[in-house]
Parts: sequence; C-alpha cells; structure tokens
Amino acid sequence: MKILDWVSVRKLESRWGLFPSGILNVAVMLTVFMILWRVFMDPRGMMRMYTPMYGYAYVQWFLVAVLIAWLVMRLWPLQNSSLVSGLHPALKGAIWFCLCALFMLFMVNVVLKMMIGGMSIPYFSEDTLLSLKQNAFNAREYSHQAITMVGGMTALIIPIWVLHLKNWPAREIQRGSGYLTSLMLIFFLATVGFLLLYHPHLGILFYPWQVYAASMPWWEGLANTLSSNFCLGLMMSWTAALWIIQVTYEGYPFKLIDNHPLRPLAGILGTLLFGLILFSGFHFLQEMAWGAPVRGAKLVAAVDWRYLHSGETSLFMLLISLIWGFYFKNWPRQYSVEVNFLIRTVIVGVGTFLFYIFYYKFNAGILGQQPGYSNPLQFPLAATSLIVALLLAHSWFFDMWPGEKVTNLQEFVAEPEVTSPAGEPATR
Amino acid sequence: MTSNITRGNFLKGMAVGTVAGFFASQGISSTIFRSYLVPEKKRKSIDIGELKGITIKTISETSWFDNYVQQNDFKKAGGSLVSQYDVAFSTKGVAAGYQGNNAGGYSSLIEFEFMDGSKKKLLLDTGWNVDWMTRRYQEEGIDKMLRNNEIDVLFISHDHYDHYWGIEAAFKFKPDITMMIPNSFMENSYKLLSGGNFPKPPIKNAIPFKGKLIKHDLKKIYPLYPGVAAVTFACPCGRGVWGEQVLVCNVAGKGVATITGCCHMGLITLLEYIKNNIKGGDKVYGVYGGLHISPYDDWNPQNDDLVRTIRNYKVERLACNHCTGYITVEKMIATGVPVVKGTARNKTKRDIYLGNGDTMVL
Ligand SMILES: [Fe+2]
Ligand SMILES: [Fe+2]
Repeated sequence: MKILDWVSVRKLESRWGLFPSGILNVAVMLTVFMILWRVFMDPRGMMRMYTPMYGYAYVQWFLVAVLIAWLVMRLWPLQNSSLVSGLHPALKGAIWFCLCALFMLFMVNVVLKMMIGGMSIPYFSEDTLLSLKQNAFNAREYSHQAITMVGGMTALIIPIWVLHLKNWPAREIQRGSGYLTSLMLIFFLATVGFLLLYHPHLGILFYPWQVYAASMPWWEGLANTLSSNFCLGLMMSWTAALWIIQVTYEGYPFKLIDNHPLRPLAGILGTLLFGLILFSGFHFLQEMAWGAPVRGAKLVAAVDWRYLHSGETSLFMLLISLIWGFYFKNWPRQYSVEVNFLIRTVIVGVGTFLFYIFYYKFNAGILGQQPGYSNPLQFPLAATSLIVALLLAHSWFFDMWPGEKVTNLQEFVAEPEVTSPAGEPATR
Repeated sequence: MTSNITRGNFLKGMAVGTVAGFFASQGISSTIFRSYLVPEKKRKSIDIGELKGITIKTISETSWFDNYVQQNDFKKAGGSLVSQYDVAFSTKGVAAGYQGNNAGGYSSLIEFEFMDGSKKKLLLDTGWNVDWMTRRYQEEGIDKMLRNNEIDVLFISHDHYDHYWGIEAAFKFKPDITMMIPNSFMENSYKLLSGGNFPKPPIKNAIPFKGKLIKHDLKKIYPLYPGVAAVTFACPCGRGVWGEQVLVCNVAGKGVATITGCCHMGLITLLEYIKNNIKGGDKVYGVYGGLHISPYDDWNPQNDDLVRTIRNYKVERLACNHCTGYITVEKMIATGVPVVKGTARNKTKRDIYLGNGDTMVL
C-alpha cells in the first residue's frame, strides 16, 4: 500500500519518557556525527574534506537531499509501505540515508561539477579551474564555495515553498508529476536567487574581475562591502527564522490565517522580517562585543565577516530550536500558548548562548579546526549543517529510533491510502 | 473562534511583532542606544619614544618558489587546516626551486638609527630552507654580522614554516643569539629549537639553541629600543600557528612605521590598533613586510574592500612583499597606493615590490 504522508500520519512515542529518550537520541545522533566527521571531514582524520569548502559543499547538499526527500517529495517514488513502515527503522533509515547520499553525489558531481562546471560556468568545477591554471587551493575552494552557495539557496527556498506556499502544486497533485513540479519550481527560484545574490561575488573573485560575465556586486553601497557575505548572512538568518517560527512557535502567527488568500505573502514577508530582526540583532550584539567593524579589516573586525557571523549565529539558534523541538517535543506544551512560547524562547535563547560558548571553546580540539571566532578557514556551519541534516534524517527516516517507537504501525497494513488529516504539512 | 477574530488577532500580533522588531533591530542600533551600548574605541596614547631612521634590507622574501607546487603539497596533505608539521613539502625536482627544492623563506635585516647617532641591528625571521638561507646570509654578509655579534636580536614574528624553520642557518653562525618569540609557539616549534628533526616536511635543526629566549605574551606592547616596540597579536595564522608579533617604530618628524613578518592580524587592523594605542599613530609614514592578503594569488572580495580603503590611511611609503601577493600589489598600484618598487634579483620574480637584496630607508 501507498503511504502519502508518513511523517504526518505516524505516531511516535518515547520508550523511556520524554527526557531520557530525548537525551539518548541526541547522544546517538551526535555519535553518528562524530564518526562521520572523523572519517570524512576532520583535518587530522582520514579523508580530510574540511578544507573547509570541499567538505562543506557535500554536507550542504546532503542537507538539501534530506529536505527534498521528505518535505518536497514526500518520499516519492518510494511511498510503498515496505520502504516506509515495513522495515525496522534502523534499516529503513539507513536505506534512505544512502539514497540521500546518492542524490547528493548526483547533484554535486554530475549536475554541478561535470555538466555546469565542465560545459557552462567554469567556477563550478575544480578540474576546469585547474585546467585554467588556477592553483590547487583556489580551484578547490572557489568551486566548492559556488556549489555550497547553490545548496544554501535551495535550502532557503525549500521551507519557503513548503511552509508558505503549501508545496504547490504537490499538495494538490500527490503524484510524481506534482512532486517533480514543486521540485523544479524550487530549483528555478534557487537558481535565480543564486544568480542575483552570489554570482556577482564569484565574478570578482577572479583576477581580473570578470565584468562581462557577472555584474559588480550591487549591494556594495548598502552593505559597505563587496563580499556577498552580506546576502549570505541575511539568507541564513531568514532560513533560521522560517524554521524557528515553524518549530518553536508552531507556525504561529501565520497558522491563524491559514486560509486567507494573502497567507503566502504574509508568511514570506513575516518570516523575512523575523529574519531581519535576527540578522540585525546578532549584528548589533557583535558591535557591542567587538566594536564597530572596519572596512578592509580582516578577522573579527571585517565588515563582511560580521554579516556572515550574524547568519551563523542565527543558524546556531536554529539548531537549538530544532533539537528542542524534535528531541524534547518542544517542552513545555501544557500551559497556554503564550506561556509555552515564553518558556521555549528562554530555553532556545539560553541554549544558543551556551552552544555558542561551547562551540568556540572546543571546536579546535573536537573538530580539528583553527581556533578563534573569525578566520578564513572557520565555517561553523559545515559542522552544524551536518548535525541538522542528521537530526532531520533521524526523525523523518529513522522514526527517532532508538529513543522512540511508532505506535500505530498496524494502521498501515491493509488500508489503501492514508493522507495527512490537516492542510498543514508536518515537519516533525 | 470565528475566522474574523483570528484574523484580527493575527493582524494585532503582526503589528506588535513589527513594533517589537523595530526596536530590536533598528531602534537599538539607532544613535541613542548605540552611544550607550557600543563600546567607544578607547584611545590610549602610549609613548614609545622616537628614533632617527630605519634601514631595511630584504634578505629573502621568496618563501617558496612555485605557488602551484606549494598549493598541491597542501592539497595532498588534506588542505589548509592540516598542521604544518604534517605536510610533505616538495623538496626535489621543482624546476623553479632552489636546487630543486621549493622551499625558500622570509628574512629581513633591520637597522635602527637612534637620535644620538648610534645604531642597532635586528634580524627578523630566519626563512625556511637552510641551504637557501645560508646562501642568502652569506651573499648579504649576515653570516659575518652574526659571527661578529653585530646583530642584537633575532626577532621571530611567528613560527610559520617559511619564517622560522630555517633557524639552523642563523644558529650556524651564532647559536647563542638573543631570540624573541611570541609566547604562542607550537609544541613542535620548541622541539625544533632544541634540535628537533621532523622527517615528514622534512625539517630539522642540528644546532640546538644556546642563547637567551625572550617570550612575548600576546596582546601586549613591549618597548625594545627608543622609538621601537614589539606589539603582539592573538590571531589565527593557519596550519596550526597562532599569534604574531610586529615591530612598530616612531620615526622622528616623519610618523610611525610598521615592520611585519606576515601581518596575519590584517593590515587595517594593525593600522587601526596603532592609531588607537600608540602616540602619533595616526600618521603612518611607512609599512614594510609581508601583508598576507593574496599569498597564493587567491582572492576574496574582502581584499577588494582593503584595496578600496587602504588609501584612507595615507601611508606615505608602502613596501611589501612575500605573502602580500602580486595581485594585491597590482591592484594597490592601480588605485594609487605609493608602493615601493624593487629590482627583481636573487630569484624574486617581479620588480613591482621590494625583493631579495632590495633596501628601503625610512
Ligand atoms: Fe607570510
Ligand atoms: Fe605566516
């Protein structure tokens, strides 16, 4: 039988109580993270892919693959119950994990590197850049930076499309044609976004400036820097805003006008506004800590790095929001909406603060990175994006095994079709 | 609840959210709140004295001879974050190298002339490839100066391979020289100092250090001579190295001058620091040394920000080389920065900056 909205219709229950199960699951997820990091990413480890952009590009696209598999495609074309509810969660999860890795390899190696990088835009391919006599460092970092940025843009468009445009038209057309149309629309918007926000940055990354192939960064007057870290930081904060509103605040206030014709616009502008608040708020905190940035400076004083770091801090906040929402079921839920939200806001705020301190104190030892808040090789999101991807995969593909179990498995044995009851697509 | 009421609530919620958001972002960062919450740059005015003049000779600024080979070595080792002691560098068969070895090094001789006419010499960094550095020291007479105790101090800016691994070349001529280092050396760098051998890069020092070792804590100003101070910065330098020290001088009647190994803290950060901490620091007379902007002809629009703003600091004479990178120098010249030219001798490839054997008088 076909299961159209597995994550929405399955019912999960903690095996050993909310907090013990939650803590166990976080520990399991972080263990998997550490193993993957040591094997693939760590500069002291085996594959040493954290160069940093080389490994980051793959992490970013793995995250995109996970988002696409559930949020956009609803597990299509494998909605058959054997792969959705039939197998043991660990086995089923591992299969989906591998499928996502395959999709990642296809997008990065075949579509972006081979096709686009080889036949259209040289900066997408390390090999093409090497053949054009860029040195090994430039070739590797520049090409994977471009690949990461396309992935980052896609990871922003997906929640906008799914949460605020109801994954149109896949919500109405729950078949391959619907899912693929939604996916193509997302890719289209991500491509346009990339060309507007990042392509000019890559145009001036080469010497001499590639002025006939890319416009000069249009944001220079606005941002006081030529670097697209301004756009990047803002996009990151928006991504964080979309998810924090959806998870920590359960989709409020947009939930209240669910059927209003202006609902999509309200959702897009409202989350953008919240993103702007995060972006400028974290920017202001940095000014309080380190003084005003100076154009042309490097490290913590650099104008462009401050923007990037606002985005990074927003995504630290997102990570805590997701961990709290997914593993600890957004505790508390028993009080009025206002009280629940207030307590959760405090938890997420304090959690972000503690995680920030922890990360910058121990990242060099644990992850093998260079110490310091700002340095050209410090991309905290390579690690945190991998954690987010694993967290989402843990819920969507592994059914939160081993800390939780699905209690309504018998429902998916005989009935012909089960769909999500409400209009709202489940994210948890 | 009817849908009208929920819609009303929604609009109210949005309105409250927008107002709160305004205060959280734009409101707070308006000038009123800013002046309370954003720390003013505390302007100190430390007097480091003054001196009459400085003569700087570049002994070697060719840290490595082939960028392409160098980058490939790092790529094979696993990228820029791998510790420098864990990289196998190309020491044979490099066409552009010195006797096939891609390693060169960075080292400069600084001579200070004080107000009373007396002089003191300081050796900044010791390069990397011991054979190449020995040859350059002999060609420029540094060997004799070391033997005759004419050089007061060996000043190591930071323990990067290309600035420090050649210590044997200096110790050959004077193993008991007084040495100043930032107090943030890697453990392996201390091992090298006392006669260590690292077969992987490969690098060794057969002559254990016998002199006085002075360690400078980071984020401090150490007066060295009248008009000369060592300023230490806590900054990431890459490949496992942390912290760098810089020479800041005050030339009487002219203004301040900076002398750097790599300038990993960033040129603008350095100039801002001097402006805010050193007496007379807002008049920059000279800049010398590696500026670490595009060492491998790598680029970043952040560097364009630097090229576009450096003229605001009104540096009178900017002499750079080594990890500044040719792209940066070309771009700075194009925007009218007074870059001091060299002569492209002794394996320095181009004359657009101060090269091996070139001299600048400040
Ligand atoms: Fe350097
Ligand atoms: Fe350096």
